[in-house]
Amino acid sequence: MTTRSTAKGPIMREFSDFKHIPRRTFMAGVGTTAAGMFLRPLFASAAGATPNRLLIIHRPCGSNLGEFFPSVAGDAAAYTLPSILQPLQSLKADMTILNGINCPRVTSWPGDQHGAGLITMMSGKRPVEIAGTNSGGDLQAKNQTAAGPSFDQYLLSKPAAGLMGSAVGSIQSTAYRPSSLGLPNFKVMSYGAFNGALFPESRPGTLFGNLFAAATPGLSGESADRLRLQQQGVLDFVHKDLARLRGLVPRSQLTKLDAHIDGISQLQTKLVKPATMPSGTPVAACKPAAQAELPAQTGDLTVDEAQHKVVAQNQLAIILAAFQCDLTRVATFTYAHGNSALRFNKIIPGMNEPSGLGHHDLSHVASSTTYHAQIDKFYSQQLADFLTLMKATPDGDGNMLDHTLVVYLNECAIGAGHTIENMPLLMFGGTSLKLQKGRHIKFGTRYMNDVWAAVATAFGVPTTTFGDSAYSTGAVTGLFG
Amino acid sequence: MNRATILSGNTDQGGPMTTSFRTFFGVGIVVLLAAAGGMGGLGCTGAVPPAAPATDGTGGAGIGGAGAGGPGPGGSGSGAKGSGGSIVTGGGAPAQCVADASLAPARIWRITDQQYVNVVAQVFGVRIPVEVTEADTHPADYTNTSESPSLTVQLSVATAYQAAARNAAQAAVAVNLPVFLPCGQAAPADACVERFIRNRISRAFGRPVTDGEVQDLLALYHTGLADNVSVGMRLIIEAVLQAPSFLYRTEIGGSATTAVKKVTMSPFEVAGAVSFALLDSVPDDALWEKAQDGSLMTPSVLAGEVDRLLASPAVQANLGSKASFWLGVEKLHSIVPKNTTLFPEFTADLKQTLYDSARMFVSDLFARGTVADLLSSKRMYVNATLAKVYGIPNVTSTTLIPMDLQLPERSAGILTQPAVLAAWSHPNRGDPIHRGLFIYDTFVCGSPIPAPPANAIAVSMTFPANATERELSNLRAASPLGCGACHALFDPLGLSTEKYDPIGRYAPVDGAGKAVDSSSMIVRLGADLDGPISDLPDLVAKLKTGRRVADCASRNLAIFVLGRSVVEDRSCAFQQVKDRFAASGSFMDYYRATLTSPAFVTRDVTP
Repeated sequence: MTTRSTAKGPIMREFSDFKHIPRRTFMAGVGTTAAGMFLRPLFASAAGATPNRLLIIHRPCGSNLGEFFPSVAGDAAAYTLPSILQPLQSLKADMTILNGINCPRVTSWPGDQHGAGLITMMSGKRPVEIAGTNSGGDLQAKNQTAAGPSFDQYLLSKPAAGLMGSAVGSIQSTAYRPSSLGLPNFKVMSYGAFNGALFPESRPGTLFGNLFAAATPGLSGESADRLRLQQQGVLDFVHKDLARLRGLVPRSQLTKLDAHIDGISQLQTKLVKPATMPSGTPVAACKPAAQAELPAQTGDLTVDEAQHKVVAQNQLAIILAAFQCDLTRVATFTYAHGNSALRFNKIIPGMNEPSGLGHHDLSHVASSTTYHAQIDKFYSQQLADFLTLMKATPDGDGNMLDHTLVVYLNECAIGAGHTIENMPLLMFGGTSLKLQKGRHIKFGTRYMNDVWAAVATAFGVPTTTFGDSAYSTGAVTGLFG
Repeated sequence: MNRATILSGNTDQGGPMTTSFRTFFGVGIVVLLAAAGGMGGLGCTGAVPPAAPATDGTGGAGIGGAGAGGPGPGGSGSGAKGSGGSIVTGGGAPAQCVADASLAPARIWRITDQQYVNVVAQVFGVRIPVEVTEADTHPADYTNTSESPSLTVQLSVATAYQAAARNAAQAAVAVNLPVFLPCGQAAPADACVERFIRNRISRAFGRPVTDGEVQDLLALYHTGLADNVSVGMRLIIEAVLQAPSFLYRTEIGGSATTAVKKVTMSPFEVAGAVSFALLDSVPDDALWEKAQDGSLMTPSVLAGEVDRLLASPAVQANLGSKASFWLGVEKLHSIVPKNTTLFPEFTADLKQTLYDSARMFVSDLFARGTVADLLSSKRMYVNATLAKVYGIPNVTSTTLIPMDLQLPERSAGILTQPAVLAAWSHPNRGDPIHRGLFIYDTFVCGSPIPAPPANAIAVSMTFPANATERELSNLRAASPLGCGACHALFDPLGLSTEKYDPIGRYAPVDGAGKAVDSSSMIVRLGADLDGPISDLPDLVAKLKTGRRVADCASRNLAIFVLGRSVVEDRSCAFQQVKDRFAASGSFMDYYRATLTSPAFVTRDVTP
């Protein structure tokens, strides 16, 4: 992915790089009827004060810590970047390396270790079992969910953080599938509340449609009204049919239909979202990429792993576009979950890993540390490409990275043992929040909960404890100015 | 949520966690054990009548506490209570059955993603990707039961349906508008659009659309007409593909509110029930016509249609693919990968070939085989690669071909398919527990085995790390903490397969040159099975006496054709299905017996 530095439409042209991706026939026409969304570009900055944003990015299966943390702490000038971080060289001054942060969990808790890792990193609390299920103490049980909100949702719920009020509360996406159904466990980063798993969307086309189609603001005038009317008509038909069926079924079947009716009602609510910002400014004008420009995912990533990279690029570009249009201010993105079966010898050119094992399984092979470092370096490169794009995207008085705090985390420190000590953790951007950038900070031994408390405080929500207070000794200091 | 789902999880789970656990956490075991106070409350005691007073229950956190519905046989010394009687239903003279019960309750039943795709292809002529709601590509379990909680539509699923409908409708109109509107697509008369609705949308709904629905859909068409005809047509399809009339199949007759106790399904519902059971899609033209003229409700006509469909290769393939969940083949997708040092030959390609081979075996079995073949077929689908790894001589074919092997170690049908043996093994060692559970669940149908208690792993940590599988099994059986209450029921079944290694090779001699012991003592499973066995053929011989396997198959297959568990079913109708299947043994007859049962066309209304 190359850098674009001009002000208008960086996203559009970014997608043009993806045109070599074969596209499913059925997707090809979809963009044409979405032509109503070709509107005058106008970035969020023109609508008022530039908002702060939070973006948390996860890549799975731990790292190779020796190749991750620089040997020297302090200012960027004092250290060189080890191999895994080398792709981030040009962003060295924008990056904070957090050293000595532990994941707030105990590794003998029952349940899948990757699931437990992601849930505790994000929510700061021990996972709970889904009601009515029993892991039987199994260390691979998949029936885990979060006991409370994940940090992104927690912060979103605090008015003082200034993250709420956009048309779409938050985005959750991934470049791995399957993801949106089944058990949350290792798949889900964001949790709304108890058992409120927010499954990540893995299909760029669908994510795009959900964000930018008629169901959301971003359109104006007659065409938008017409699209809204059409969508309303469709949902009205569905609602009416649900109500009819509800009158015919035995009582035992009502819960199914009531849940469904609730879902459709929520979709209908989205259609009548006010087309103005809380400040009264019209949301009308911003220019997302046309859906036709999005490459379709060409299928199951477990079959065609080469899609991983391009899907990730698209998902992140969509998040950036949503930030630009101020459709949302909070997003979580996971490249792949902790049980990823992606075979990187199909993804990284020239990687001749002989076993052909997927990422997760490879991470458990003792002799694979070299390959594992290669994989984490691959993710550093993907991250660097995206952050470079963010930095090149104007936003208010600066660029997108200035107003966005990007947190880059993993659910394990070392994948092979699912370790919890010294999590490989980075932060970027957040100039407006006074993130102490260009530093490698050694915190001694602190829990992630204390990092989140410091982030919340920086966002204007003074916080001493996030998550389980047993894994907290107050917000870390020295991270924000 | 069943035991298997929780424990085996997803397509790509696992890793060698269990082994590493030993090294990491040995220190904490004593604490865990003390806190847990033994394996409380496990209920693997089906031999004791539910009404039996639990006088010797130790109560509270004690072993085999009274709360479990009967005293536990382990630990507290009450083991004798559990022995003796059979805990298996069927296999003998039917107990008193319920004469008037239908084969299923009145219900609505959401279609699966695969069914969604099938119907869209059949009715609207476009094939869309199967990830409609992004359900797992290779689920560990078959979850398409009408009561599955995962089949509830909530906001996230409704959103997924919205996007899928948008894409499918767009594609359908782009490709097939001339087909939808044969009378001209430039400016079609409303009558022409109405014909499309009455002909095609009715098929999507599996019933004729009502006049009111025609008017609503025409109105929606006119909303889109402000753009153009294509948009109008697209909106109709988009709405239909999100409508409950499409997303749910109904089995309620005209109405099944609690005012009635039993309903007869409409001819269209019967047609749908038959078609979805066999083809996972809406009725074809011939079946639809017999629903339209009502003749399908005549038993001989229904039987004729069932026979016609069962003869079709598409139906046979579809039934085989569902049965492969029952027979443990699908499990191969969700195994923890084999240890590559010990088993370098177990490549991704070999795994796929094994899977394909077993699927072919199952399809063959279902299309042409009988329940006797299930455990005694010598057939295996092999190619040169597979033959080399599994020591089958004289195979040069690069594609999988059926062979009837004259090898004693490959003569127990599904149980000696290497795919199944490999699916139920650890990455680096045998797994009599899960092989035993597989045999128990699939062929024995004993009383349900609950999930292991919370301290099961901690207890297993106290066993010597270098113990063999057999020694571990003995330790479980002898454990004062009561592991044997459940393990004694299925560990012996699994031990009979000890001569098959973790990738399913026959290995009668271990690495040290010692003959592998695969004998065991079966207890508490009933007179037909109890007693010593020396080997897998011994077990198979016992299983093949009487009706046990046939009745167990009837019970397991009901999930796929009736969409519900029949474990508690006491209806005479289901007993007759079992009788008919046991008499002929033909799997095709099982579907015939179910779908043509008078109790199949009715539905009981539960309050």
